[in-house]
Amino acid sequence: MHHIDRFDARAVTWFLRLFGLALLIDVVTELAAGVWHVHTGRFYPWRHLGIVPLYPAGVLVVEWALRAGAGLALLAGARRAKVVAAAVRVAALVLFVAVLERYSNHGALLFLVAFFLTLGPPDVGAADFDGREHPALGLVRAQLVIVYVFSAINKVAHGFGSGRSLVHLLGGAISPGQATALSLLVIATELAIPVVLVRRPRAGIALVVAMHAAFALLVPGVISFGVAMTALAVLFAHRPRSSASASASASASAGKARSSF
Amino acid sequence: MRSFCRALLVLNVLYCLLAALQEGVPGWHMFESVDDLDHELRDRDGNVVDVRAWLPRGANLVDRSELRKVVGFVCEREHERAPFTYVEPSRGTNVTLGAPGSATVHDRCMIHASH
Repeated sequence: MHHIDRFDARAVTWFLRLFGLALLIDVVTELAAGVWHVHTGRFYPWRHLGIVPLYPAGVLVVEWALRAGAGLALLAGARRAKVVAAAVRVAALVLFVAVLERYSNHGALLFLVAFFLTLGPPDVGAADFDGREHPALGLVRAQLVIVYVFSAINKVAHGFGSGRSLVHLLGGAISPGQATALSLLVIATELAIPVVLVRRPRAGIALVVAMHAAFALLVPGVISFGVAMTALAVLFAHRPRSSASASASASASAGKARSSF
Repeated sequence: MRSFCRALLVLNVLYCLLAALQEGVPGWHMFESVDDLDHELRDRDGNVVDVRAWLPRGANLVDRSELRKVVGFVCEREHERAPFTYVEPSRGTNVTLGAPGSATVHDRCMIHASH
């Protein structure tokens, strides 16, 4: 069985890039949605919780710039340890403030991932990366299971399966019968994804992409969340044991050869 | 590091359990309970006012109390178009908002919970 805290360097590289992309899309989504006007006072002060007072639009610009900068750094420099370490620290700090100011599920997810990464920023260029344990990345991977399982539990507990919530959410665009079937399918898929990801990672990733693509088509503003969940799903990918070991020993040999010069 | 991460994982799961059991605690609640938000706001000339025009695009209104707060905000912002008529057909609510009076604009635009 693939060890719980062992990761494939290539998968982690793609996870970091996708996470960077999710950070960028989140900023672009807020810009396009007009969150700016919430901070200037033109719009209703739309936010949840609001532990920190609604800050001025000027501060929002700084927040957006830092979040987008961290996202770009991860996209472009996922294989450079120092870039990754700096980007996740900046992202964690800024996202923490942002979540306190206007709570959202996807904001909380992005913050948690960035925070977990600060505990052990991955150095995917390290020769022994595949052979070492990465408990911080283990936390990130576990977050996917937590999100889907608790989302399904909450849906069951609140009667989402009846289809009423979907009918209301989609403004009557689907019939009650279709909504019930779709609601039950969403719950079943959320519960199935962690199992499929562990047993057949590629199929699991495809399932995550398909489900979030469907959400993105039906509900506006959820693309960043979908990309972040896809990033987490990619962490489950691993090469077959034999090729991973061969690659790790080849990298280790190359490292020894380099250090002997 | 490994023990610390395991402890964080346990805390994370315990928090999610609490959020699942306790109403109002933020957790992984995603559209599981969306109210039927049928409503209509009209200004004094009878023109329909789109409440969502005062929200960021894609903002998902999922409960009625939030909708009513947004309506109150619109009434205050556009008070030159008052009085407004606010209707919630499924609840039989039909109220006039922002009508001239001695109270503040904020109070005149508030939809009381009893409605």
